Amino acid sequence: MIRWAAVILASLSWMFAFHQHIEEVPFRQWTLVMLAVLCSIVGLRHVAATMDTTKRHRLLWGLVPLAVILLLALPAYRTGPTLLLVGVVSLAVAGGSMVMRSLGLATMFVGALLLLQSATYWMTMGWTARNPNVPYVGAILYQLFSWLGADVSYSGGRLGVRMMRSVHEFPFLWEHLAIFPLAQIWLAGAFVAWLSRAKQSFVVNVAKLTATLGVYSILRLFVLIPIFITAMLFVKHDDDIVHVEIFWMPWITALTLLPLIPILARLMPWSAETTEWAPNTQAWNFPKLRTTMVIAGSVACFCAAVGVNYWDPGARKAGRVLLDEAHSRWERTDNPYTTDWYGHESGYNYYCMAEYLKHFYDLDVNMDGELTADRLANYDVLILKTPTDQYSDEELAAMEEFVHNGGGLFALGEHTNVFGSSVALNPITRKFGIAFQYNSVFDLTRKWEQVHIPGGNKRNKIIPTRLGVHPIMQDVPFYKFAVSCSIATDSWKIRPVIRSTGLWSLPIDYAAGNFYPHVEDLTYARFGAYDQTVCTTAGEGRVVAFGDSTVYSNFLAFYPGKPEMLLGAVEWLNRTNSLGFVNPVMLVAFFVLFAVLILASWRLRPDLSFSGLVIACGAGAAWFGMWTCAELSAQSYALPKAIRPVHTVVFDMDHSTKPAPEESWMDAATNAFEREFAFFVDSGKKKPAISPALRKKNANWPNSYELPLFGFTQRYDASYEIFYQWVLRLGYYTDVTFDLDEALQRDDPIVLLKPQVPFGKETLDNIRAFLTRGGSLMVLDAASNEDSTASQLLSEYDMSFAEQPTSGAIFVADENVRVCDSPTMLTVAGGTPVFATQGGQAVTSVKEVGQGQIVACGLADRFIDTRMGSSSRAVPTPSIRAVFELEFALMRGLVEKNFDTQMKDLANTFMVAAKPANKNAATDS
Amino acid sequence: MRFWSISCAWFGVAFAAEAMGLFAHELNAAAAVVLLILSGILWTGQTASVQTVGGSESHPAPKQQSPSSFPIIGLIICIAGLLMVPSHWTIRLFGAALWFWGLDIFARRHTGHATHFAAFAVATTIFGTFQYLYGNSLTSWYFSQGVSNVLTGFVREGSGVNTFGPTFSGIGLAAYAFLIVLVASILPSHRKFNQWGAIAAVAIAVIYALYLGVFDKYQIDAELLTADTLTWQESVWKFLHPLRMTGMLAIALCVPIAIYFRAISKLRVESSRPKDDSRGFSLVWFAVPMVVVGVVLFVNTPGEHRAGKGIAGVTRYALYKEGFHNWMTPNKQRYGSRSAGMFGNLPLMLDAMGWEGGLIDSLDDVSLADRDVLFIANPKDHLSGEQIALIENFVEEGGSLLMLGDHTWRKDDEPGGDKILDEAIQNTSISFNFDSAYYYIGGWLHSLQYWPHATTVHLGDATNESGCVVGASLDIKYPATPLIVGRYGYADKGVHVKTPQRGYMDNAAPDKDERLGDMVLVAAENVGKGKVVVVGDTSGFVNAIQTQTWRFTARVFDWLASTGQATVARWRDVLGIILLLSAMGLIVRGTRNQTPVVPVACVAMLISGWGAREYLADNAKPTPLTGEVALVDLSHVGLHSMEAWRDDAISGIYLNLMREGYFSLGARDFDEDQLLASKLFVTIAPSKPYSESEIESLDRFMNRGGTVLLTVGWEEKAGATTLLQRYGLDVAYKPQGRATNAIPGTTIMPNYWEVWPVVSDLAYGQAAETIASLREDPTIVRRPVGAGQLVVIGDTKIFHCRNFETEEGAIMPNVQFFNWLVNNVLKQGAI
Repeated sequence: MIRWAAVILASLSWMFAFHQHIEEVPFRQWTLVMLAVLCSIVGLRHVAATMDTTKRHRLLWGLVPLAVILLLALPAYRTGPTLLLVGVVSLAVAGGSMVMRSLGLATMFVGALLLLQSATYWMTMGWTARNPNVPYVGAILYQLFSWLGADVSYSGGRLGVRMMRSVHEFPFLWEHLAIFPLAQIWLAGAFVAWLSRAKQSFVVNVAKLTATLGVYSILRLFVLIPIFITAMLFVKHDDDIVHVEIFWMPWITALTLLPLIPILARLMPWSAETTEWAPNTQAWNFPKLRTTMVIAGSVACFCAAVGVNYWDPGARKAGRVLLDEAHSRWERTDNPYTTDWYGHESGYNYYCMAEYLKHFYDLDVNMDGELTADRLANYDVLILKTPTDQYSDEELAAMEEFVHNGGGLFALGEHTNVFGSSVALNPITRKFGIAFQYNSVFDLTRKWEQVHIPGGNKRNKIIPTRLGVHPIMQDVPFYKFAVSCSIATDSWKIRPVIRSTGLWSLPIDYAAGNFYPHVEDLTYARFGAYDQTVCTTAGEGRVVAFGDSTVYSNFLAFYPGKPEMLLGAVEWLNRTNSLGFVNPVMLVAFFVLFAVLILASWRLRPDLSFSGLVIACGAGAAWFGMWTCAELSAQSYALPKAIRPVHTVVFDMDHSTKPAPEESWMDAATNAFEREFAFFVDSGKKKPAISPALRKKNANWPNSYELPLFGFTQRYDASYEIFYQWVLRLGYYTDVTFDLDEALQRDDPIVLLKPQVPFGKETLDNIRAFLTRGGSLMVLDAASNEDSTASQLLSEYDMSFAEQPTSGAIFVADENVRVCDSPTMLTVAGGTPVFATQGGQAVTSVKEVGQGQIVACGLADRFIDTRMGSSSRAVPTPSIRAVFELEFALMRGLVEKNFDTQMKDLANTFMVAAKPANKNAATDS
Repeated sequence: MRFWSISCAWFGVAFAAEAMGLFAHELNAAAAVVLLILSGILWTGQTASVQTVGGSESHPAPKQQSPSSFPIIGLIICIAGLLMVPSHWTIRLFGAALWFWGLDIFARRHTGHATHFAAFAVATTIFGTFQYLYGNSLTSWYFSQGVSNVLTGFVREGSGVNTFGPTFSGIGLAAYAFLIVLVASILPSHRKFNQWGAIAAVAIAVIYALYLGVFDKYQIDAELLTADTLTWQESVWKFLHPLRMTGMLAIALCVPIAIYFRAISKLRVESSRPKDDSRGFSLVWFAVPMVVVGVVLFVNTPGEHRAGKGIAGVTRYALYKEGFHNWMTPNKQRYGSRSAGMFGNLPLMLDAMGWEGGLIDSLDDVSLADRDVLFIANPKDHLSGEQIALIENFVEEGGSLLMLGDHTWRKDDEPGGDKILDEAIQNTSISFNFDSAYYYIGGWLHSLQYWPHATTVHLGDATNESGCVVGASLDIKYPATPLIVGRYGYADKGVHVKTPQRGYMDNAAPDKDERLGDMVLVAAENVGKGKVVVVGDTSGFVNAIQTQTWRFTARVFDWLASTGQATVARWRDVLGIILLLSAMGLIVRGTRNQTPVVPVACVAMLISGWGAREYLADNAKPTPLTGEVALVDLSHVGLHSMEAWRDDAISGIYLNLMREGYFSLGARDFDEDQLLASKLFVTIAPSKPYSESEIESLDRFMNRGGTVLLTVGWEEKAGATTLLQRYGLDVAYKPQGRATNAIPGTTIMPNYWEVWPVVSDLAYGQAAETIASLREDPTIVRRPVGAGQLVVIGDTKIFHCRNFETEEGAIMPNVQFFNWLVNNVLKQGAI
């Protein structure tokens, strides 16, 4: 049993390696892995005593592929190769040491197991995203619960369980069956059976294993639903709590799968066979069969990786883009986003997105008229965004022909078929096997704050996270959705661009005006993986379907990831297809070579060590294949260069974010327990809020200011959402950097907002170099930034902020013009005053450095959201407009380096006679 | 592996016995089934025996059957046992015992030795017998209460009632643990077994004592929690919730059991006595009749309807008008929860039962002279001595009294005011406690024990079918019968000084001097020639709730007017106990002789126990209510809440049907007799499809003039498809959302919540008649069927509370629409 414990614990560890349902928790993953290793040590100790390691140096061959994997693989996938590495080295140096032998054998076994399981996550998520529902299970459970005498129903594929409060309906999903951990267990079990010498027992054991897991998965639900019902009994009358987390919380899933340990141990005992598959390097004489296995396995995996990850670079087109406005009354592009237009529609507006594209492509807008074939023939990419009117049959035919002839179609839909967007888009996208679903998709734990991170959460600066990432997303650091719909596909030819996990969806509410459902936990809500962006090729052309149009509204379009994805999508579409045959050829090659591998190993039945070598070679080849594809995509699909100048203001988060404090393990464990066993701890209570690490980055106290990067801003008195967004009104764009040194290599103006992290010498040097070559840098600070490090930077340029705040009116320096008031601001010493107090003390100053300029502005607290009208979609009062004008003047001066002109213009706008008493005070000091 | 197998077996029985704390009861069976299966799987292939009953390697056990026949017999027994596990809680343990016996037969295949499952089978059979007695024998029930009181009285402050009931005392689990060890130890005569058995028994006793101590110590007074309670204390208190305590006891007791079997598994003992086939089989012949006769003795026949004092023997009832209540029915002047009135529907229901009578203003000779059943609820004033004597005499002479009270009921603050409810039932063994019987789960869901009786035989507690909420608990003594017992709750003692916020109610939390578990909520007793039923809470009898509890309330009245007894005669009770316990003795004896007395006895118990309940159920079926009855279908899991006044509840349907002159009832069963006696059948988005036979019943109903009203939208139509298709109708996918449109030719404007077109299949013959439409799509249609009709509204939620009648008031356009619908459409089809 202890050996099966090792197998199952190792398999369960994968649930914590990815953001499958909740964010990955490497600590838990490693804990389970270590437990698996311990179990293996105990379970395999007698094997360690008997195994033959005479020619143990042969094991070191395994280091080659392992090194490749460890170099290339994403962090979540390094567990297996790391253990295998430990195993190889331990056995190679073990000699007669039983400790080293046991350790080596155990780590080699668990490592090989984990390495073998590497692809399962990708496969199960792919399967469930496309085929979420599992057949028959609902009907079986209905019969079982009817047998129990429970008040249940079954219709429309849903099992209904009557409770006093409501009928809980369950549509049975693969996710309900815990398909991912079960698939891992199945693979591990099959591997164990494979290592057995007796060939006939492999088939029998795999059949047993499959049957056992199948039956168990249903029996598990047979108990889990009653547990859910019992938990629901404890929910207080007025609380809207539905304990759906019982079905997806990883620990709960893990606990409910632990009984498989004794069950499999009983049904599939493998103690007698253990010694047979023990490492035996003596037999490593590399006959043809072994060579064949290694080569076939490696090449097969390489082919599989390329078959899945290769993206045809195609032939780049001229970049003529047509955006259809004629069928859309939503997210318009024809009203300029200026300093004079405010209100709801100014935010839900695509003007900035369209303008931005014009910097890179020749973009036309189809304001009226049909999309005819003749018209489309003049363009390379067609953008359909949230249409509200349906396309005629002729237009549909023209668009289909356009794509087949090499055009690129970019369809932007929206959740819940809002304003009929899905109804309008689906007739054209369905021609390519794609359909926008009438639903809305949420993060399982954070609801509206879904963040997709291409390549997984742990980014690595050395190894590009482009591995396995679609070229459209290869330059996207992270992508925060604003509630999308999911996209259904009916062909494996359609490939995911954004496939997210840890999501759930609600169907639309036909009773609501915008079909938006009341967002609440429901048992019939589907959870798991979803395709939120997909692409396909058809003839010479390409199609991309994207399910969340809101993110390109003016108020969201220029946060990190958004412009990159937009340009990536248009760039991918701006190609005709040329090497599309590569993928199917590689996949066919994979199947052929895999068959060769199976046949060869069927004859040989290799021991654990040689199996580990084959697996390592295969995995190494697969990662190498992925890396190759990623590099090819990086070369082929680099973001386009601007054909017209772009002004981007970069906001620095690097120096506003202190490292988060370490959570004590006790607190972490307690919080985790309360989160994941809420139904058990106190079911009647509201579920504790789940606070993932991403939220901590953005919302917790270490940040001196907030932007809605990973979720909503949490502290309105520290939020600069409006300040950030208003930059767009000036025709500039915005960006955020988490690495100031990297941003300093660019020429874009930079805003250092409330810095609280000390500047290193290298950074200070980089800043000086940046300024000297013409860069423009603004340091915005306030008294609320108690740990400010602004003066450390400013002192380099003989400038500084006062320690104590002041308040009152803000005047344009050198002019007798009052702009607005500020309840708190910092005076500035040094530089040339730009704004000053009534007493003439500068609150903003500028100083030229080389060809550039540095601006010190003590008005940061003037620009927090609560003092900017609280909502970016509100129409401002005159006093708030004055603050906006202040910001506009600052930003124009920063970008155009002409504060003199800006101040004069501003003074002309606010012609109020109240000259500062001592305008030179700041300069004199 | 044996450890896990035994653990699963132990927990399987614990769940089957519902001894694990609240784990919603039919769902207890799910856990039991899975755990039992696991116990078998984990054992599979295990060859080592735990006990050698019949021999050892040196003295092989004689083979009773050829080895090849063992697996088939074992398999059959296992499957049969497993199939019986989801049966009624009083007999399901015999299914578990059969399962163990079947597993044991598998084991013998290898060695001829019995396994630990033999001990489990015997112990479970005995435990099951105790459980059967607890649920069917009044003497045993009182005995269990007494034992719990004595055991837990040692640790609880104040003895007597301030103790744990059997549910929380954990006595069942402890007894089961002892039984397992005892049986395992006495079957083979071997000293080492007995040594281990003694050790295990001591461990069980220690664990049980610890359980009681911990349970008592950590039931912190609720008031302490609100003041200076430390966080960890609160956490501990929450963790050691009474509903979890017995589960923890089960876990703790599992350890010595599993270790015990582990310890003795390697022992091989020689048979101390040879097998005696002839004696063994004779035991079977004795045991089976004992079991069957024993079970039969507990069956309480429902009795016949006895002749009443009315013309032609019609039962006459008297509803005593005075009391803290009213006799209103819903009217069209008021809407919302407060408009329902209290007991106004009782006369309607009794009339619908074919009874005569009415309200009486006073309790005197004249008013009771020609009555058979007297109803008194929540008296405001003390009864005079004459009145008390009159009531006592009325009952003694054969009349029946239904006495309803409520929690913490008293006459002002005067001394003795808390006894006012007891005045009318002084001559019974029942009295009201001055307390509030609180549940842990709102509405006593999954928390009730029903006595096998004509009044309760059909009831479940998943959706509060008896209507008991927070009322007074009852103090009963033999021979009073506890018809309904609240298992998972506590008796919150009343306070004697009234407070503005809570009246005489205390803190609504269990305190140390308050009883935990097993409060009697409804009791019955034969007194003289008459009968008394006492109900601690009036809720189930009030208009709004009675729509869902009428099966219980009607049965109570029915039984009061019958010749049925509260329980069986004492001699039968005692004789039944003797017979069953004697049968258990034979089982132990027979097992030692390797005779199949356990499975035979279990089968006998299962069949006779099941038969006894079926007999009671069949013979306790009341006469259908007749008249202007409107049934609201609850039997097809309609997509709405059953809790009153939730947004998606259908409370408004019931009340507005009453306002339109119907007697509205929720139909938990699809009973054709009741259907044919009704005028209207309303079904709201059923998620359980109607079967062919049910559709035939509905067809007969409509052909005879009945009306079926179905409200269902496209999203929920799957469950209604069979019914719709039968009459050539369908709900089409063409979302119309929330909308309103006038009924043609009227000013009635129904507010649809989420409406879809109802379309006709012309292949049926003709299009259904359109009653209302929206944007030219029919939304309400009528299909004539014989003398009746099927009316379909394409909106599941149109009559949900939030769109019809809320707790505070009404959505008047829809109330007006309903009024129009009833009078212009629904009643057109009625006879």
